[in-house]
Amino acid sequence: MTRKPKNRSAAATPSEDLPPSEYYKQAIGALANYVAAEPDEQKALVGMQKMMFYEHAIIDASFNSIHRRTMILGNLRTDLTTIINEASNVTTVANSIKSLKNILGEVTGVMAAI
Amino acid sequence: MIKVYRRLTSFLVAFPLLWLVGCASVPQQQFDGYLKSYGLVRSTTQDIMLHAKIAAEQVSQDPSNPDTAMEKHRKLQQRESDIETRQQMLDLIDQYNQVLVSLATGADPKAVETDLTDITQGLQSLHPEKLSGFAGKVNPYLAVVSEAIGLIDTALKNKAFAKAINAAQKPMSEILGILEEDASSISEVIEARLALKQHPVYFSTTRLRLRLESLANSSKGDADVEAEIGNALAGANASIAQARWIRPPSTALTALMYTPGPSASPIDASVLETMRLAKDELQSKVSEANQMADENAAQKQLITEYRNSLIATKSAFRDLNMSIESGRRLATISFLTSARKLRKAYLELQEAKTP
Repeated sequence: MTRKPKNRSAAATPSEDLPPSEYYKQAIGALANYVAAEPDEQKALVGMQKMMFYEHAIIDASFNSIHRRTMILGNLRTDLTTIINEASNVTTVANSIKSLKNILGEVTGVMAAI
Repeated sequence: MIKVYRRLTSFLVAFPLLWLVGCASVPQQQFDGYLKSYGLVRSTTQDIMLHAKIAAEQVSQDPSNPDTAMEKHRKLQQRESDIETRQQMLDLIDQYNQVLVSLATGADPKAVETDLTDITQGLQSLHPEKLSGFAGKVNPYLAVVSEAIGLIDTALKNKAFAKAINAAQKPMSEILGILEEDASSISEVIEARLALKQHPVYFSTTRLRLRLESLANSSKGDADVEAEIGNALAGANASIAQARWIRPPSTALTALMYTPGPSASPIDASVLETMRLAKDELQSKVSEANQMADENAAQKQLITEYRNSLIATKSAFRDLNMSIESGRRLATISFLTSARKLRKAYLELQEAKTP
């Protein structure tokens, strides 16, 4: 058992049936038994460090899942923005009258200036 | 006569318009239910994302993290950016809700009438006789016309409201679904963070357990002494049985037994005292570990209630669409129940937080 293996996924390859975090949890459970039974304190300490190592693997896997969903959120953001833009540009009669009022204001202003 | 004519005109214009408005009306109760439900989800999402951000920072600074400094920095940046994207999504949904609220609000006939009055006065100020005459004739009916325009406007807005709700069914459902999945991932992160804190306590507990067993089995004495040794082991066993490990051992730890070997030597008072201290320390470690387990359980409960709120919001939004399509009122999701449960989970988490 090493303190800092270079590749965490190579250190523990998830089985096909379980999600990665469940596999890590099982490994931690087995290590907990090892730590409890190992009379050599140094060896037990390395076992505990390995348990912590797998906790970091669970954290990585969880944040990676969040990151994967971020990509999907990007597309959904585009969809929702289009809907917002369409719904914001609803032409109503009252709005048209308001525009007409503004145009008329400009026309009377120009005529007064002539 | 003019008064009667105006009333008749008002009735003839308003009646078919009221029918039209009725057909495409905003189901206010369902809409309010959705807005309240989303409001709750929004504030909780912000809190949970803040938890995730703090967890990401702590993980990056944790001495037990095996990553290199560069890798830690890269991961922290990516995680913060992912969390920021969620924040932006909440802002976007807010914007969407604001558009819905403005569509659900009907046009004010008084404001329309003011605009129309301004227009007729503007037309009268233009010199061509025909225009001025037309403006003068229109003047008496402005109130009726503006009322009709208000109704048409409301109908148009309601139609746009229904379209905006219908079009957003898929993206909104998926966004809320993603937040739901995020909640599970964040729960895993928080649990692993607490497990990282609990593992050294577990380690100390197992060391104390082995030390107690070793001290006991290498000692012997008279019946009273052996009864005292037995009591120390029984106390340790009871503490261990009450321990709530976030990651429990695959196989339950066996109970400590007093089975002195042939090489056991007569016990002296200091060894007996050491055993008593070890038993007390073990009890204190278990209590420390249980506090972390309680925090984890409360955190999980909060996430469960948060996920329920997300599901309720998703249903409220779907109900809103169904209500528009079917033109009838549906039973609204009990927002209050959801809010109460979430609040309770929050308070329980505050109580369970380790100092």
